[in-house]
Amino acid sequence: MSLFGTSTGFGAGGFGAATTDTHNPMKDVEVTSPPDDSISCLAFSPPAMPGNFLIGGSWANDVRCWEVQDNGQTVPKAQQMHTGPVLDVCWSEDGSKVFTASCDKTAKMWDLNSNQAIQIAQHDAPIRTVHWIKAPNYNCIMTGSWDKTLKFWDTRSPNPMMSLQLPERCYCADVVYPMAVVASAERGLIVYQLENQPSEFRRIDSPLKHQVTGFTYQHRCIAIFKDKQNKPAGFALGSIEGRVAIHYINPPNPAKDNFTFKCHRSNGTNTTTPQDIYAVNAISFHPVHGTLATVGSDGRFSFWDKDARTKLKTSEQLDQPITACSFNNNGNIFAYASSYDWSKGHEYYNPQKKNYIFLRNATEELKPRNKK
Amino acid sequence: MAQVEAERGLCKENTQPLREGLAVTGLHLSHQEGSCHAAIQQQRQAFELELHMYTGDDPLDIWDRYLKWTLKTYPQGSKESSLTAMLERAVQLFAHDKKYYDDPRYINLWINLAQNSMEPLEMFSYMQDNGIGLTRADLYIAWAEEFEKHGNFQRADAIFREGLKCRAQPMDKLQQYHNGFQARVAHQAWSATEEEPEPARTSMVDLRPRGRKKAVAPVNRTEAAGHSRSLNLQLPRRSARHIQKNPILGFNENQADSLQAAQLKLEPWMAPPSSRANENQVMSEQLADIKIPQKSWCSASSVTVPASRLNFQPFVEEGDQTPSVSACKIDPAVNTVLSDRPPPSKEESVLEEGGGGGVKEQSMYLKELLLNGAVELSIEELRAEHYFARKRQEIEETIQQQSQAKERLRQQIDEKQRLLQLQQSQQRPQLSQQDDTGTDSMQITECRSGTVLPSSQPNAMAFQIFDEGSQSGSAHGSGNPIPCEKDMCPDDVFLPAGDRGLCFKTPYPFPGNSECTQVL
Repeated sequence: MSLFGTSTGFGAGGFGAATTDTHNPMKDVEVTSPPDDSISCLAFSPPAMPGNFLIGGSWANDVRCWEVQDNGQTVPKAQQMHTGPVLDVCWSEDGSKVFTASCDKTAKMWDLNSNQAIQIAQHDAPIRTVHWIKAPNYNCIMTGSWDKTLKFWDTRSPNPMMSLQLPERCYCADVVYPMAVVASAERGLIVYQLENQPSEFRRIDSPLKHQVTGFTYQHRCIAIFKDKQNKPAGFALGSIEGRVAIHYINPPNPAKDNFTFKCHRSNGTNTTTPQDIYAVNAISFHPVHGTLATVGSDGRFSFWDKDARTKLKTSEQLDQPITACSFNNNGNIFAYASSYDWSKGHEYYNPQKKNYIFLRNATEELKPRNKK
Repeated sequence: MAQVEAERGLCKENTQPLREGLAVTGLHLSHQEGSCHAAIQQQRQAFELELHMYTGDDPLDIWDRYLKWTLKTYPQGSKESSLTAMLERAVQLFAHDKKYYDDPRYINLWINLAQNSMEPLEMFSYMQDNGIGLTRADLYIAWAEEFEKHGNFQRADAIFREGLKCRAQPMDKLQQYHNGFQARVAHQAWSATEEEPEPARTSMVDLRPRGRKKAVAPVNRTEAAGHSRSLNLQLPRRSARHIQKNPILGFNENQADSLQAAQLKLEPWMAPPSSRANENQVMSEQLADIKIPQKSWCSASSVTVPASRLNFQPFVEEGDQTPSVSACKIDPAVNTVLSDRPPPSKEESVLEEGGGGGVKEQSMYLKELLLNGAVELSIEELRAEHYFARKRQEIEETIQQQSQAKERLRQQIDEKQRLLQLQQSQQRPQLSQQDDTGTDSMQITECRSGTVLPSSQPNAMAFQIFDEGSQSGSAHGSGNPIPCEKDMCPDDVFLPAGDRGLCFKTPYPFPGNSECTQVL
C-alpha cells in the first residue's frame, strides 16, 4: 500500500558508509523501510496464509507490515499507529488479523484486508504481551500488562472474558495451546493451562536463581518449546544477565533435564578482564527443528540445540543490540532486528541511528546436531 | 500509649494504627478502593518517576515523602502497598553513607522496615550494632515497644535506659515514653500479670515454626514472600535454624565492598536480618560450609564494578557442571551429563562447562537505572517512563505556548479597547451620521496584524458589539438587525464568527451592551 516515511535502507553499506561499518556483518537481507525507532517485536504470518508477511512493532508507535517474497525482496505493505510505543504483536491463526499491544494501555486488532484497526483491549498500564489463543471451544486474545493482570478478550466485547491476577508486572509471555506461561517482575513464573478456559496451572520457582546466593536475574523473554509429539513441553527463559534456563514442565528427571546456559557474553576465555554480560532480548524456537535462537544486547544472535546442549552458531557482532527475532512458519527465514534496546539508558540513545530488520536463511544453520 | 493504640486497633480492625494518627483522608480513600485505585497508581508512579529522575542533593526527602504517602494511602498495610520492598530498597540505597545514620528520616525508614518485618528485634539490634539511629529517641522507643509487645518488660526498660544514657534526642520525648511505659508496667504488675522470661527466649514467643522442613507462613502483612529479595544471609547465632538462602549481595553480586558493620557484643553481623520469610529454605548444612565474604550491604547506586570477586565458586561454574538448577540441591559432585559428551569440535562449542573459578563478570546494562526506585524496573519500563515524561513535557510546553499566545492577544485587545475609548470620546458628537455600511479604514480585519490605529475619520463607521445571537455583528456591518444605540460604535476588534476562526468577545464596559465573555 503505502511506503513508510523516507527511510530506504537498502543494501549494506549503500550510503557510502565507512569501511568499518558493522551494521550488517552477516550480510543478511535488509528489510526495506524499517521503522524509525527501536523495534520491539517481530512476527511472521502463520501457515494458513500463503507467502510470508512480517509484522514489526516499534517505539515510534507504529506497526508495519511487509511482504517477504521468495527471492528475498521485501515490500512494505501497510502500517498502523498507536498513541504509544508498540510492545508486542501477534497474528491470528488464520492470518487475517494482527493484534498489537502498546504503551498506550490498549491492544488493537488490525484487519489486514480492510486495513482497519479497532481497539479490543484495555488495561490500567502499558500492555506488554499479546497472544492469540485458539482453543477447540473458544478463541481469544491474552494480554499481559504492567498493571499486574492477565486478561482474556473476546474481540467483540469491550469487557474481558476473564481477568487473572499476576503476582507482579508481566514481563514476557508465550502461548502454545494448551499451555501458556507468563514471567513477571520479581522473578514470578506461572504456567497456565488453557483447556476449557484459562486457569493457573503452576507457579514455578524461577530457574534463573543463583544456586548459592539465591539471587535471581530479571526475567526478560520466554518461549515455549514442543516435544516430539508436537505438544508443549517446557520453555526457555532468558534473563537480563546473559543466561537462559531450559525448563521442562513434567520431565522424568528434573534435576537432569532442566538446565541453564550462559550466553551473550564476551571475553569468555580471557580471565584477566571482566567478562561482559549482556541481556538476552528475545528467544525463538525453530518451528521444525526445535532448536532455538537467542538475540542479545551484545548485538549478536546465537543458535542452540537444547537437546544436544550445544551451541550451533554465533553471529558476528552488529554495531547495535538485537532487540527482537522471529522465525517464519516453515523455519526457512530468521528475522532479527537491530536497534538500541535502552539497556544503558537514555544517554546512549541516538535518535539519528538507523534501525534495521534483517532476514537470514535459516534452513541449514538450525539443524540439530546429531546425538552421540 | 501502646494500650491506646491497641484499643484503637480493635475498633478499626482493618487499619493499622500509626503513631502520629491516621489521616482521615487516607482512611476514606482506603475504603473506596475502586474509584481511587487509578488515582493511587498515578500518585505512586509520580513518586517512582521522581526517584528515577532526581538529580539533587537530598534524595532521602523523596523516600521520606513516599513512605508517608504509602502509610497514609494503605492504612491496612495491604500487599499492594509494596511497603516492605520500598523500605528495603530505600535503606539499601543509603546504607553506604554514614551521614544518614543520624538522619531522622533515614532512621524512620529503618524503623518502619523493622516494624513490618518478621524479626523486628533483630533489625533493631542490627541498627544499634551498626550505629544507625543511636542518637535518636525514635529508635529506642520503637525498640522498647517491640519488647513490650512480646511482654519483655525488662529488656524494654533496658532499652529506654540505654537511650537515655546515650542522650538520644529528643530526650524529653524519650523520657516521656519511658515514664508511660513504667506506668503501664506498674499497672500490669499490680494486675498480677506474669513477666516473660529473660530475653534469650523472646524469640520463642513467636509461634512460627522454624527450621527448613517446616512451612513458614509469612505473617508479614506486606508483600507475599516467595522470591529472592530477602536481605538475609546468615545469622551466626541461629545458624541451625534460620539460615536463609539469599546472602546480602543485593542486586549487585559482583561488588565486594567491605562491610561497614561495627564490632559488637556477640558475633559480627553478616547482613541485616531478613525482612520477610523465604519459602525456599536451603539446606543449611551445605551452606554452612560455604564462606561468604562480608559484603557491603549493597550500594546499588554505583555503576562500575570493582575488580575483586567472590571468593567462592560462583554458581556459574557449578551450575554448568551440574544440570540441576531448578531443584534446590547443590551437588557439585554430580557431573554426569556433560562429562559424557565428546570434546567440542572446532566449529561448535559445547555449552560452557565452567570457565574456571573466579571469572569476573561485568553487567552491560546500567543496573542503577533499574534499581533506583523503590521497585525494580525492566528496561522497557524505564524506557516507557522516559517516553511518558517526554510526552508530558511536550504537552506542558504546548500549553505554555498557547497561554503565552493568549496573553499576547489579550494585550492587543486591551490596547484596541483603549484606542476605541479614546476615539469614541473624540467622536461622540459626530456619531449621528452613522453609516452601517461604511467601510472606512477604521475597520480592522485582522486582530493579529498588530496595532492598527484608527483613522480620525469623522464619519465613523458603525461599531457594533458582537452579539452571540446575531449573525452579522461585524465591524463590516451590513444590514445590522440589532438595534444599535447611537452612542455605541461597532468594535473593530470583533470579527464575524467565520473570519479566520477567531472570535473574541470581551467584556465591554459600554452601557446596554450584551454581556460578552472572551472566547478563544
